[in-house]
Amino acid sequence: MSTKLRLVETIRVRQNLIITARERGKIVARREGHNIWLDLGSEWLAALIGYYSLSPDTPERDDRIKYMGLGIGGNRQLALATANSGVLNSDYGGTNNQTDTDPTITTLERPVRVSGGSGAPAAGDAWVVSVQAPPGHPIASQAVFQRVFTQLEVSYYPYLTVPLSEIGLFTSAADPQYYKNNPVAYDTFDTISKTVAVELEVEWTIRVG
Amino acid sequence: MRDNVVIKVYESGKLVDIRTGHNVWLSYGKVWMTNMLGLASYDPDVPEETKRVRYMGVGIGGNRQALLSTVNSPPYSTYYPGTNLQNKEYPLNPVTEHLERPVCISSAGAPPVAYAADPTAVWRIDHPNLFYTHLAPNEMTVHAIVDGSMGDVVYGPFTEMPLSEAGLFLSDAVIDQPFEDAVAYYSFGTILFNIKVRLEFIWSVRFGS
Repeated sequence: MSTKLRLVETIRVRQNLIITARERGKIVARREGHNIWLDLGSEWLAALIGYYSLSPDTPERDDRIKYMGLGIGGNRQLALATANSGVLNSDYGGTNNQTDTDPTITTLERPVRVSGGSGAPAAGDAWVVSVQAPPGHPIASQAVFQRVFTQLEVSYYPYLTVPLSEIGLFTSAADPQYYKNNPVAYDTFDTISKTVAVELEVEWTIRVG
Repeated sequence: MRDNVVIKVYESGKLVDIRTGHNVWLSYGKVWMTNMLGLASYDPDVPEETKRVRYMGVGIGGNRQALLSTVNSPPYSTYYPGTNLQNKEYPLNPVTEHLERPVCISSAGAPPVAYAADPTAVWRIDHPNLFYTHLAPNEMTVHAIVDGSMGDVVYGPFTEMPLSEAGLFLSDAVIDQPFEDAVAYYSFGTILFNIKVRLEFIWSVRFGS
């Protein structure tokens, strides 16, 4: 999916998000579409571009997009029976109501760990992970944030098959060890089952203009 | 859609006019905004871009200048020569990068003639006559005051100034340089500015999906 920031009267932030799943190098699933720039993202930008005080100039916010996180929530979850049973239900329980048309969303609905332990959230868990730095700029008014989730990320014992269906983009204000961070952009997509055989490549483009 | 630029015109302290309209976001602003999103490197986190909206400038250019015979005659044509072609509705012909005919806010002596170098010249509104608010969570609003009673703009040979354009500038804009790149541009029907007039610009940059 791609996000476009329109800087006329209202700067519209539109995005393209492409999620590609590969198994031993072969593409086995691909999701492409437009995600939603959240109200939290608009508030972040409004605080980012000016100063809190002048002389000396003090920014109001100085965090930038840094992390990506995945989940099994969202209303596009097609494997509800899997998501709502066993260890996924006990460790990543919740509802599947969030849409990618609601800008008031404040968290992933059912976030999953990228790495760490199991059971209740604990120190050492990574719920969001860094995107590639610097972002790509295929044209000057686009920023592309990429992340490859490797075979052993997300799907590790006891989560051997994780039916992913939501994703968020987070700023550096997020705490990777906290499971309910606030994203600036969100998408829910038709389920991709992440197993130890699957590598997930995410390419999130934000467009200005 | 709600207008994003409001100009309140006060004469001898009394509100006599309110202008409203829409700005255009320029190429420089789009690229800057894109670069504000991400980090160049991590640990420590280094932003790709650190400049922020910092200044506002005014001018007598733009295609909405109603007093062309005045601005194309001395002393205006002597001190602030130029054309009146810039069109905020279509900023590509001619390409709009800065104010077309910026005017000096103040300087040690008379205004520089024909944009000659003058290290004492101040071409943009600065703190404390510029400050920020958030009129809504998703917007950053610049408030800028141009005050004739304080000698802004109308000094030297000028007792009146037919203002017709304004721009927003980043923190790297050099204050004594007239033609710095703007991020946003607004042209408006002429406001005849004099020592009794105070203008309050209320310029919102609004974000949304």
